[in-house]
Amino acid sequence: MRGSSFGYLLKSGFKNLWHNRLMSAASIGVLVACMMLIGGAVLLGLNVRSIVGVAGEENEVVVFLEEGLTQDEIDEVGIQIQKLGNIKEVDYVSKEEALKTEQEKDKWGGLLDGLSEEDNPLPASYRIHLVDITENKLIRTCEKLAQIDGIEEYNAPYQEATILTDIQNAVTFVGAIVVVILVVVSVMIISNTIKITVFSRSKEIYIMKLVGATDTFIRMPFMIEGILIGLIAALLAFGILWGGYSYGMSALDLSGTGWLSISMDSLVAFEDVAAFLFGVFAALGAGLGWIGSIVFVRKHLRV
Amino acid sequence: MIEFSNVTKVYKNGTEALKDVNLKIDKGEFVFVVGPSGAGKSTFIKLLLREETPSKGHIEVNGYDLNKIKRRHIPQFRRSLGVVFQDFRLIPKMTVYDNVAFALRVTNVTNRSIRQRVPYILNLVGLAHKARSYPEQLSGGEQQRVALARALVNNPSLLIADEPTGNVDPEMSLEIVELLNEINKYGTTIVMVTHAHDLVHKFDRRVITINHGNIVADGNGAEWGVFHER
Repeated sequence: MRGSSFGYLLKSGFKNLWHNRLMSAASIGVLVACMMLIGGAVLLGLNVRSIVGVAGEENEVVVFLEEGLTQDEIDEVGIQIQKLGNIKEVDYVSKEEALKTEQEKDKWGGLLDGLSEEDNPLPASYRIHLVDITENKLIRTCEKLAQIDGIEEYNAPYQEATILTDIQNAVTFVGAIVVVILVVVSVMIISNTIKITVFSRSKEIYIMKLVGATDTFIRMPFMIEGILIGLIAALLAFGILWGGYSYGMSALDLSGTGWLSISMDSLVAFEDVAAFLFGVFAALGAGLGWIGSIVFVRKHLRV
Repeated sequence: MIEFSNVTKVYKNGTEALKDVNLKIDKGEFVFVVGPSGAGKSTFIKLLLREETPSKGHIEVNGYDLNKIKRRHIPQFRRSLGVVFQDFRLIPKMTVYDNVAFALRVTNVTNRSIRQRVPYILNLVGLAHKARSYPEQLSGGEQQRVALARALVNNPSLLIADEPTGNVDPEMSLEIVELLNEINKYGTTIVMVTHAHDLVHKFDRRVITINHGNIVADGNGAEWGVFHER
């Protein structure tokens, strides 16, 4: 194909978009709505995951050390723990510190009062914060923990981990279903629009065929039109979503009270997912326009 | 140029449109094809354009074997001929100029030769001053001349006209056939399907009469007149 032909086809793609502006506007509107819903579902899902993740970090694994270890041996255990992976932070709590803390808590009804350091029944411990506390990761880390020498026993927040994992799974699952449904709906609506557009121009396609136009030549303006509609919709949906999300975030920030402002830090910033969302939108829009024009023009090319 | 050998066309619904038709049209001829509605004229045109394929028999047009031609070569074949229809078939949202230029654009012609060729052809059919008009702003006769310009702009060796005067007033009809006659003088083969018997009488040319899917007469205009009046 010549450059001049390509220029002509590109131009007629743009022209068609304008000539059928009512239909173009309708398609763009529908696509924008679908993309915004998809984007909303993705943002909600990411935020829930992020908040749940923060909650998970509050939970710690406590490792009690065997009695009578030397300081070197205790340090060695600490080094071993650091090497496990999935470890965010390790704090050492000595026997003395443990006793002091427990005495201050006064939970034992004075039972611990007057105990000297020699009689101290409390073991030294490591308090470990994990990076990922979801069930599988937690179990795997604990299995490795059990193999380190010098550890008497450990307490892991299995129950909490199960709950958090369940929440994350549920959010991911529901989010995925919502996104899939919306994608299917967009595909159907866009297919229908393209079908109508192509049908309204079937006479034109027929004339083109009789004059000796190749299938590619006929298809190109439709493809360009479809891709343009998709890209414009992506741009609009992206802009609206960005504006809306930023506005919502600043409103939360200003209200400044209660758990909402506490969890502010754990909310996902739009900038972090912007590139991803726009990529998905653009690919979805352009892909739909492209494939749709190929599928529905084909029927009319059989002349 | 055109050769039908034992061509039969049966549509899916069982209609037998053409029955064992044998026909030869040579280069440079001017042929009228006449016959009542439903005689098989439209099928004849559709077979010529490779819009339909024959159920039986063999068709050759412009050196292309239409039985064996590959799908991707059909556009190339169609560029070698020009077509004019009763309902003009212009693209409504394109200007007269663009409608004519379109037939060149599909053939990968440079913009420069489009700018030369289109005004020349529009001038030939006497519509140079309407280049910027849209089809709906023109009369039937003018629209048909635009269609004719589009058919001719590729310099085809064969021009097929399917009732070109059907939607045009009598005076303009005469003008259009005279234009076809002129074009024929420069060597373009012309096949014109028509109902206009007065035109067939006036231009004493070869006349092929189709009825019930058969060729019932094939002779010159004067003979046909005798046959017709009987």
